[in-house]
Amino acid sequence: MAEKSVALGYRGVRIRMFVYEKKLQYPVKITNPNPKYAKIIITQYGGPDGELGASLRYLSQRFAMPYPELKGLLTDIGTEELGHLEMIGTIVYQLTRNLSIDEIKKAGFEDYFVDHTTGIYPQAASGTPWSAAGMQSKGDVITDLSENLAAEQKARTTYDNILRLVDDPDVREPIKFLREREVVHFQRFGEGLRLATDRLDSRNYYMCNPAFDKNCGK
Amino acid sequence: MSTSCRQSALKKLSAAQFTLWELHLYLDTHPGDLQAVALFKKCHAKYTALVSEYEENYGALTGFNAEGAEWLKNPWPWDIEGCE
Repeated sequence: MAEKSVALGYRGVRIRMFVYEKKLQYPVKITNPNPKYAKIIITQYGGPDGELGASLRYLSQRFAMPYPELKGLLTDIGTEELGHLEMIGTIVYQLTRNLSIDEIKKAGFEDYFVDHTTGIYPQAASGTPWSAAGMQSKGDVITDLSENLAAEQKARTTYDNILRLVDDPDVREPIKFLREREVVHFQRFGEGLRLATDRLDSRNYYMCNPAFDKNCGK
Repeated sequence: MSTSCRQSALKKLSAAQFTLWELHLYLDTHPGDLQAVALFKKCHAKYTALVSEYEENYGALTGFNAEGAEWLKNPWPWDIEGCE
């Protein structure tokens, strides 16, 4: 056991790929199932401003990033979003446990149920399946970081709207946590944008694209 | 191994991990902040101790650190634990 713990430093782990940790970033324990809430909250799983799109946006954009801080930031935030995806999946799963057909009908959950039973499927609250059309990876540093600032605010608004619709504190607590993470990511992306523009010509940031044009900012 | 015990250990671990993660993201955009680096190191030591303590009592957090079928044991993160 002692040897095991030595191998477990956060930055000292010797495994060369994504590593799954068998815990949520923030605890989710919902006592009362509520399919109505599940139908709303699934939108943060596979909707236009949801966690799946966020994760893929950042983990895709990072390949074009020329600066080490931005490669790190996109990798880290993209990875955290996968943790958020797992939290949202957990919330929807726990909200749809042990449902009777009567409860499903009463909550208007039939349209989700007929396609997915109570499985977790990436779709918007409207029922539209997840689509890469809701995200962009433009290969331009300023464009991509500006997209990310907007994306974090769109997700924050969605969480605000969920909080307007949901009363159960068991559901509100993890949603409030996720909402706050959007605010922190917005802050970090703002700093990332600043780091990028500091390296470019301050009279005209848009003169060239450091992700494509050679000698841009040099 | 009581459920409430596991949950309070998990809460402590998650709080320590959260502190560390926040510092880690901050250091992505402020890599030269030596005060933050020092704080990260301090918090990291505490976190590592909590991980070892948690894993000794409740099983491995990552698959490669698990022995045999230990990895497959319930609960998974999305499970609701009963109060047996």
